[in-house]
Amino acid sequence: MNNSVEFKLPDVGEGIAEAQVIEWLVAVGEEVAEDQPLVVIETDKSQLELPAPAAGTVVALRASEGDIVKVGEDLVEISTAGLAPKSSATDGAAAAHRPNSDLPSVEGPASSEASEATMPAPSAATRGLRPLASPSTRRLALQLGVDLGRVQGTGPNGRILAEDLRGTGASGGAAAVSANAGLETTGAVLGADVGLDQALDAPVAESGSVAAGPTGANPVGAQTVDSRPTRSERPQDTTVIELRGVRRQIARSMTEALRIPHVTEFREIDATALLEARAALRPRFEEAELRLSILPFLVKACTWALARHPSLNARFDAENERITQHRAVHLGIATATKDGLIVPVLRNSEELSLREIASEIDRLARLARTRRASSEELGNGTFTLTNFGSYGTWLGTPIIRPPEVAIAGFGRVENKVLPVDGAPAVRPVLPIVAAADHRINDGAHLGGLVSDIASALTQPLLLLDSI
Amino acid sequence: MVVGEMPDGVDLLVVGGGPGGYVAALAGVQAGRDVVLVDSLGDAGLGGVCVSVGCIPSKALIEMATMVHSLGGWSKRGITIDSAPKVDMAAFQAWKSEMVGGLTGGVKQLLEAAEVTVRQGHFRFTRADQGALEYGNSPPMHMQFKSCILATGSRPTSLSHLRRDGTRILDSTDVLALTEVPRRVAVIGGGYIGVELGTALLKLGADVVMVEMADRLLPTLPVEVGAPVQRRLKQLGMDVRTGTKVAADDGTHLTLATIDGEKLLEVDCVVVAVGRVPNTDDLGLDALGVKADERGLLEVGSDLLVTRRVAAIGDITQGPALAHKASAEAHVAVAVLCGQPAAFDPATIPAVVFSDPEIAVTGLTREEAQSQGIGASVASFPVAASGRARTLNETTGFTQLVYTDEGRVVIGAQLVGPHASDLVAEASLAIEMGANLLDVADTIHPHPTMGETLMEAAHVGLGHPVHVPPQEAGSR
Repeated sequence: MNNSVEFKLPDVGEGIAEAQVIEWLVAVGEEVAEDQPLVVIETDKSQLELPAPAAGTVVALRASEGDIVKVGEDLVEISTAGLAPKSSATDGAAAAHRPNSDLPSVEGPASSEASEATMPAPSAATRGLRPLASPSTRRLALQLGVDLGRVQGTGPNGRILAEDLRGTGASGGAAAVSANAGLETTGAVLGADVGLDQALDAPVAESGSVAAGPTGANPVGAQTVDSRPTRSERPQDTTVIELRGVRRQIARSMTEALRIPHVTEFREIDATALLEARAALRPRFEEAELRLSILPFLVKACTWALARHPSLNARFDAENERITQHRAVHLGIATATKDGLIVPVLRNSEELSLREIASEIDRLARLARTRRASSEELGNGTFTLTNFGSYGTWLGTPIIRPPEVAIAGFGRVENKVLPVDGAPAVRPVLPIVAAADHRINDGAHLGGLVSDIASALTQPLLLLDSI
Repeated sequence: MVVGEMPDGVDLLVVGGGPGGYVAALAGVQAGRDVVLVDSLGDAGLGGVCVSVGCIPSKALIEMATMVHSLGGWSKRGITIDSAPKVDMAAFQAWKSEMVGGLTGGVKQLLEAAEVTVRQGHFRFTRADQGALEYGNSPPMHMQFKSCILATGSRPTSLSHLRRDGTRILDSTDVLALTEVPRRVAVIGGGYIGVELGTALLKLGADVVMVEMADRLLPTLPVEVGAPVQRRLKQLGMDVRTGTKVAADDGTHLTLATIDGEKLLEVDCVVVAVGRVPNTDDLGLDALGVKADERGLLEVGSDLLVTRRVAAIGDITQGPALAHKASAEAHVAVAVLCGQPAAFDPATIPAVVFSDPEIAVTGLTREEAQSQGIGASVASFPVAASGRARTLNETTGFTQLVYTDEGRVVIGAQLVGPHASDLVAEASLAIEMGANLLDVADTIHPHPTMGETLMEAAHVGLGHPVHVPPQEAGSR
């Protein structure tokens, strides 16, 4: 089509390969100005609005809300001809270009070179046929936003089965899916609103047997008998939620963390001096409209202690059995948001003053809660701090975020009876916990770190000593 | 808008009560929409051309004509009829009206049960989201809709020199309402409607001349499926004039023109069956900013939208003007207008002709496949080799599967013979499912049925036919 711009999902940075369309801010036929926000997308790390690359008329939206779009895939077509909202002809032609709306072209569907290279050529497409899939599977693909032209079928003759679609929308593409077919069968990634019955009832056992054709030269598939659909739960009895966005990322990351053998250590410290230091500084911060909690002190203490324990300020590449220690401390701060836990990263905390830390924490927390943090502000941490106290619990066991190798957690400050100079005294007590990847560090290493954190918090003056 | 035109709000407006429109209305309700259906004929329009003056009454007529005609062939099989069977067209019409009324009433009941509001009148768009419904002398009713599905269907094409008068010059609708069988009939147009109606009139005893411009009957169908029908019509005594058109009509004689010159033909009745025109000319499409193409069709993509809020389905969009296409599109249009991902993207839209013998086609022919770059072959099984066909005493025809050379995936079927119109559904399912020849061959088909011919054709394609000698089996 002349005078039209096909706007593809841009590389939004940080190795992000795909994003979910959260909300279209424009509709087909609408005039848009350059830089006018078109769509809200959510990556594993943040939500962002994408602006129009040019002024024009929206001709076609290539994805529906909820769809996962890969970087480089078409997102929206904008006609720059400046014509009145187009309808039939344009819509028709545009719709026909939709990846899942028509016969696959022999040239292959438009896609980034990277994904093209990793996709096995579907056998049906190479024959000039549309992808072999039953109508129910095609409908499921449409609802999941999966382009059948890119799915490698595992059924007889390369037929695409409902099973083959599981996880295609949610993972790195068809190649990954066929390779991981066994891993992706939990069904959790299948959409609830898209015909759950159909998705779960679809016969998925067809791939079992492949019989040789009569001539032997041209194998033709035969179905196994045992492909009868099983009766699923009635959908109204349950709520099925698609695992998407932040939640999906957390699930993946936590599954990965399960491989880490954690060694964990607990302490309680007398927080009297810490609270005194905060009380002394608070009025000064308030002059600059900064509320001073104890969190900046915790950051400062961790940073100070990590400088003395580089083996815990590190990243571990288990596959290549390599540890990278970092001089700079990029400290992730676990932040609860309505979508799930997000960990914005305070960069180079070793270079920041307490005041800078306080204002940076404020800024990052706000970005995280409004889902506006950029990928740069969310990745590549070297250590994480989690504040159990913020939701009232005494303490918990923190989980390391791979590839990091350690994490510290802080509980709620409470008055307790402590022996002070041989006599019981009521003092504010701060519980501390830290966990380390036992493959990299032992309990003694972790103990050293925790001791230094404890020292810095019981005697905040130590923080003045940078060595 | 002038004062006094306060439009009624309509959530989903469906224009047309035919097999596209009424299905869209019911699907719309199922999707949670409040639906208003308008039809120029009101309740009488429910079911559309299909139920009232198309598929249904024509099948009734064909059934009757076939029955009457076949009685004569039963003497060898043990039934002798002393006097010629008497055809009472008036009684037939009464029965047919009752049958059609039952179907129309059934659609009405379905719509009532779904709480669809049905209004009578002619609808025209006045704005992108509004239109006026006019009925008789009442003031127009203005409606503002959130979504609209256009399913206005089509009507018979008329020829300027053969203007329909309802007595001598008839269209298909008139033929289905005949209370007497005309003596000498010219059927103009050898497409599927002309062939179906012409065959029925022939079997009811009329002298039929069929006039077709192309060099064969059923020119839009593959030549191999049309040829047996053309041969059979000639056997039955039809005067088939291909490569011929009507140049003039003087009220008693038609002037037929061929490349060899002109001939006069005296007839009592002329049936014009030269196609159908989409009902898009009086819809106020300008108000939508939409134009129909030169054939009157609205161009839509797989989302069937003509504008953001208006979808078009059925005979007014490209593709075959068939009831089942419209109904299938109705579901898609509703889903799209409800914001759900949906596409009209069938692997095949089957088509059937209730000719003698019946014809059914689905998917691709071998030639179509090859023109798309798909290496394909055909496997054919003769109807004469079917035990069931022998019992029916109808042995003309074949069942032919088109399959890819690689993988032997079924991509098309052409069927000629008894029950072809029913058999084609299985072939369509095979195509939609991506079945290959072995899938069809290994599916046990009940004996003795015509359905077995699909299994047998698959065996032919696989190289091990059972009920025909391999050298005679039609595989190429």
